[in-house]
Amino acid sequence: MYRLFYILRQGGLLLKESKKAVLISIIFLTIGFVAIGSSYIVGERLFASSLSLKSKVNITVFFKNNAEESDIKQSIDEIKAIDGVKSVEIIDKAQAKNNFLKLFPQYASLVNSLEQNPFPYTLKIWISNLELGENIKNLIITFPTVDSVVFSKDVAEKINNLTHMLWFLFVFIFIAVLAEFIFISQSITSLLVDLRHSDIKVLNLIGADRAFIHTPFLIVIFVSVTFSWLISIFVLKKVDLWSVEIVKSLLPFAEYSASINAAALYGKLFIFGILISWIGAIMPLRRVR
Amino acid sequence: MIRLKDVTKIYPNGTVALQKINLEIEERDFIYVTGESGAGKTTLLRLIHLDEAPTRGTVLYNEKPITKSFKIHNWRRKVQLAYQDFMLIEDRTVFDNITLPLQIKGESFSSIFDKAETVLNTLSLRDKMHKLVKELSGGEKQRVTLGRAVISNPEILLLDEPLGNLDKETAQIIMDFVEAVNEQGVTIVMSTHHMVSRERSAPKKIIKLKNGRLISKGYV
Repeated sequence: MYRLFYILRQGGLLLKESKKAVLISIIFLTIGFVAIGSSYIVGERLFASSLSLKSKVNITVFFKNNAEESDIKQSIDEIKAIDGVKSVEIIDKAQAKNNFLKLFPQYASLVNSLEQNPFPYTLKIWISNLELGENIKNLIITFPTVDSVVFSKDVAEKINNLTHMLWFLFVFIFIAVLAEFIFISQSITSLLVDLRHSDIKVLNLIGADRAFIHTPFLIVIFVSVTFSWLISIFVLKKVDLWSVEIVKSLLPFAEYSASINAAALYGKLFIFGILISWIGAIMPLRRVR
Repeated sequence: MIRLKDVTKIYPNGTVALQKINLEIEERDFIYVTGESGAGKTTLLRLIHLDEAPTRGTVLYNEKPITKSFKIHNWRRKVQLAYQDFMLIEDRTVFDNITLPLQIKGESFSSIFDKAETVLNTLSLRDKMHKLVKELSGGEKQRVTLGRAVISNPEILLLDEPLGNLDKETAQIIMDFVEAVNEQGVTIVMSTHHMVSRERSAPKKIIKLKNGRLISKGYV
């Protein structure tokens, strides 16, 4: 227990002797924390919103008005069996008419005056993978009972692109921050090792083991990471608030999740910061003899 | 206890520091290592302290060779070397420097304070304990180095020219202290140009080196 106290004291002395270097590392580590935390928060919100939007994208099949109902039902069974079709919703002619009149009640007298119901038998299809949408559409159009098929390809493509871009961006930022943390902790430790080179030599000569020599440097890194993490939490709370507006402007018709699990995110960021920085710090410490 | 068997040390630049040294160091010995500058005295101490490895030959501890597989830090806790050039942490206090070996071992606060007080009083450094080492004179630094080497009660104490450039009074303080430490059972190997000894002190071994060779052994 006493030994732990002395090691902590050595860490404290090292920290006192290297205030400026620690301060600079805190600034850069904070930037890293904010970068990765912000990209996660905005990315998570965008991803959740794009999923809600994705669920709205479907293929709409309009059957021919003169097609027999039995043929239409057979076609529906065949469509259901197509690979990639997740679920379907059948809207018969009466339902289609009601839906139209709900939206445009001003045309009620006109529609009711017609001898035949002009609205076609309709089928809405949700698919498991938006990339299959175009193929499924091209297949369905060949059915003899089908009049036309509508698939909102643009929306599907935009959502797919957005999801890919989010992943790419997050992975890029993650790698950049990973490299930054390793670089900063490696540089600061190298600097401190150079500064305290003669002390390390003395400690070695009087029988200090690696734990006694190395741990103070790891304590300095721990303190730097903790301070930058605390500062970044303050910034990330603001980013969390602003991110809702950012997502709304990017995906205006999506549904928005109220909040992300901030405590879990901050916890993960802290563990990430400490582990990666220690890995960076151990590299120059391994050279200490 | 420690035996040097045919030990030769040649530095990378070709300097032959020691040649075929055979030496036995027994428990509680007090050995003076004498010789002119460049005779190999410091190299001999550094070999025993494992700062250097012999080019040829073996250093044995209790008849077991000391090799790289030895845990160096454990060995250096047993064998403390007080360096000629002090090897102190200049911007730390005297107390900090002297108690470092005890901090490394993880001794309790009370034990550290008790031992530090004894050593500081004996070496007349009590009033300097909170001073930074860089503010001390050469003689005071020499005493701090010695204090740090003995405070953890090592089995073997290696002293590299501890009396060099000291006035007679300080040299006497240090010698009295070293002899008292030896009487408590610590083996001493001390390289020196000149010997200062207490009257009626126990006989000491003396070896003389010349150009890296051991040319004489005897007692004083």
